[in-house]
Amino acid sequence: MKREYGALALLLALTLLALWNVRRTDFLIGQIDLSLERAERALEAGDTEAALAAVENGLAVWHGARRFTSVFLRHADLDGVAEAFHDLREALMEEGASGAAAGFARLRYRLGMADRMEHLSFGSVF
Amino acid sequence: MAIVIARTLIVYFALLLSMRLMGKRQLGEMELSEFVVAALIADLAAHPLQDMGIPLINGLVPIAVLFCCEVLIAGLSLRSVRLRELLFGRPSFLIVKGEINQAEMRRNRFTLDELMEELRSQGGGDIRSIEYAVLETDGKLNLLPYPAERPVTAAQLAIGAPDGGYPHIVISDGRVLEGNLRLLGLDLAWLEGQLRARGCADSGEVYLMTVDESRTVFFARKEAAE
Repeated sequence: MKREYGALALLLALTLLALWNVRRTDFLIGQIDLSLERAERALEAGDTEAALAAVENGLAVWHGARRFTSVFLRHADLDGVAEAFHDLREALMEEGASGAAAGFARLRYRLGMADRMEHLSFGSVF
Repeated sequence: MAIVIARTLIVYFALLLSMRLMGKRQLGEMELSEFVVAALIADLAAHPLQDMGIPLINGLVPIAVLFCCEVLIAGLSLRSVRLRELLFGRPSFLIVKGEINQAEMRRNRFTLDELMEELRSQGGGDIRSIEYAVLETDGKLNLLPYPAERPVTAAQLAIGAPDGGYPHIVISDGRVLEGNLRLLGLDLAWLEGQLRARGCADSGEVYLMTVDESRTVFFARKEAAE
């Protein structure tokens, strides 16, 4: 019976870890989203430098969670987000507000993908 | 991670169900849940090793989930006869009192050729000598001959059969297993006496020596290396 209780406890622990993983991912992506919103507002106000700083802040948050993301998130999603950050920074530096809109959309899409793949849903499971 | 757990559970139970419906013949002397875990686990472990883009945890979590499923199902089926029947099925009697049960043969998709092959492999070439043939839940076919066809035992012949007990290895490839000697209530002095009596200077010259509880010794000298 000890083995069965052990297995049940392990299954429960894994489920709790999975739930924590969902919350942690939500929190992380929410933080980055706040930075992106700040960047968009700054861009609307014509302050490209502040927008760039807010994007850099979002990237720092993403990099700061590298230990967590590399263990729990799919590496393809990590590459996608890193690439989208890079493209957005480049667009902000070279084209300013005109070219950044697509960059923001692409980065949000990538972050959303990474987040969705951690949430249980019919689509993600099957 | 939650998706990995959900997917593992779905695939585990889907495989369990499909293998259960496929019947016992696919199992090859493993219980159903063991077979499912064996079929899944090697592949699960291999993927994160081959593809560096897959986090290692995506390989480890399903293995842990399968381990839990296997332990829980084994434990529950030990306590519940109904669950055991539901998961593993019941033994199928392919021959009953010498009659081939054709309905059971069809149900288990067991051909006559396979039945005859099993009879031959178990030394029961003549089907007339078999009273019962039981296809066990692990896919193994067990044959029970008619009493008149079963090997005669010492008890039936009313003759004494000496019981020396279990033969313990005391020297294995030149190495003395002192624990086994102690288990038999013997010591190194006794062993040295036995070796001297067989013309051996030490245990290094012995390949295998076993002793049973009645002190009967089996002795095999080590061959000279070529």
